[in-house]
Amino acid sequence: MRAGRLPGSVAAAALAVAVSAVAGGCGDEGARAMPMWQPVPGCEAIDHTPCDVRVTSCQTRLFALAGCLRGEAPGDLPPVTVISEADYAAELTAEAAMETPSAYLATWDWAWSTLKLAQPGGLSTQTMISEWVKFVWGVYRSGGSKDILIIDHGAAFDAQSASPVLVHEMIHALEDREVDLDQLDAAFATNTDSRLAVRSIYEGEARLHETRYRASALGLDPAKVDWTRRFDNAVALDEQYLIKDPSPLTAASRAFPYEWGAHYVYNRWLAGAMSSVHGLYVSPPVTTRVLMASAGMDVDLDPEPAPERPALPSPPAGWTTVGSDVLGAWAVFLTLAKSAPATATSTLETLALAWRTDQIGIFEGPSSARALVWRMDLGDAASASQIAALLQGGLQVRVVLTGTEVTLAASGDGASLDWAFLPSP
Amino acid sequence: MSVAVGDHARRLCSSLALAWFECGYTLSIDDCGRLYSMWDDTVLDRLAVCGTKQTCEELQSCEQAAYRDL
Repeated sequence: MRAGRLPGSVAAAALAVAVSAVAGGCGDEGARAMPMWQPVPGCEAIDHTPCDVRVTSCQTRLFALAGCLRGEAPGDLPPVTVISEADYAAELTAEAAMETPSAYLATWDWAWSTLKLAQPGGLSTQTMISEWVKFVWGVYRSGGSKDILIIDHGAAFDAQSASPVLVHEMIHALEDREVDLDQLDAAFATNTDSRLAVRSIYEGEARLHETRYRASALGLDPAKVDWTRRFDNAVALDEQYLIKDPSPLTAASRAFPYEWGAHYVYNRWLAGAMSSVHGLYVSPPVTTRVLMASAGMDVDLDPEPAPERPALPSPPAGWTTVGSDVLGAWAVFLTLAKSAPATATSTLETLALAWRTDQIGIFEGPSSARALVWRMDLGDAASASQIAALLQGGLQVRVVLTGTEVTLAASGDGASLDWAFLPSP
Repeated sequence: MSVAVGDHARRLCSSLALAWFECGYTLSIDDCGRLYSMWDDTVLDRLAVCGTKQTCEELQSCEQAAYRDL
């Protein structure tokens, strides 16, 4: 998970202070200690003061708080380790070396970069690890170890920054005891779209409770917080961050499940407390469209079954389909944002929400030739037409519109793509 | 270097830290107090109106404007 941020202008002010404090002199009104005691509502009996997350008594207290935030007895404390960013990166690199790399990673990398969803090389294991470790502040490992890692990034690491991270990871430990997160992923997270959507439930819940705790840890009065505004603005902030990222879809895994998820889970929690949140684990949303509708249009959609994928074309002789995926409404939005940067984000969001289903296929042919076909159904012909025009204008691809269906195809070596637009068998 | 947190900054921070939090950022009351105590009343008076801004863009602009022409 990612940690909170200091507003840019405040950070700039902090730098300016280093210079101007000397000239302007230090405050002379005298220090009057005023304890900031704003307990977490509903958990007033538990001390919320940030603490040294290496110390067992701190961990025990924050685990009690995590249990309280979820409305349950916490049970046994999971193991917690603080690890440096470099050691964590080394651990991930060693784990990756034990795994067999995907045979078609290079073709996927080319396909995603053609769609401006990642920059070339963005899907390589080393790039993914180096990007991930810069942003991650804590990890709950739901596999065999069921433990928590808190990542020490050096200067920014202290009780104030690490305590909300630990609470976030402890929420995951409690979620895992309730539903078995690996099992949840195995059952529902079967493609890029559903992976983002399902993660949005458990990361969203953790971000929700972390944020409830964080307000108190910051010394704010939770009763004065406009929570809807907070969750709305966190989405808006990360949307801008993702649009600017050269690899927006890989970066989305570091942002979308947290902020879009928290927005969605918060609405459920508001409407029906934790029992509504528990229900999301039984039947989670499996499309990013549901999460986007909640955050962008304030439409609280219920989870809906995975739509049937549009069929991919049969490649000509000598070509093979080597992979397929569902990218979802969020990827449509990101591709549009990268293809048509002059178009208002709100317009692109509305268009992407017309998404009903999609499927992308990657193909390999003779002499290392490669191609991609992305077929999407937009539900209405007007949206399909606008999306086709924007994609045609902004990407090096061929686009064909047929009613509500947009088919987009590209080849790596200029090979004919007529086959990509033939009706599905 | 340490700076005592003054009353002016403390009053300012109860609204400003909340405004930043609602805009998706994290700034503790303590950090806010330490940060803004280093500025004189002219700047703090300018910043005081920032916490009442309706949008996050306005808050950001207000914050930046407070340091202009010093």
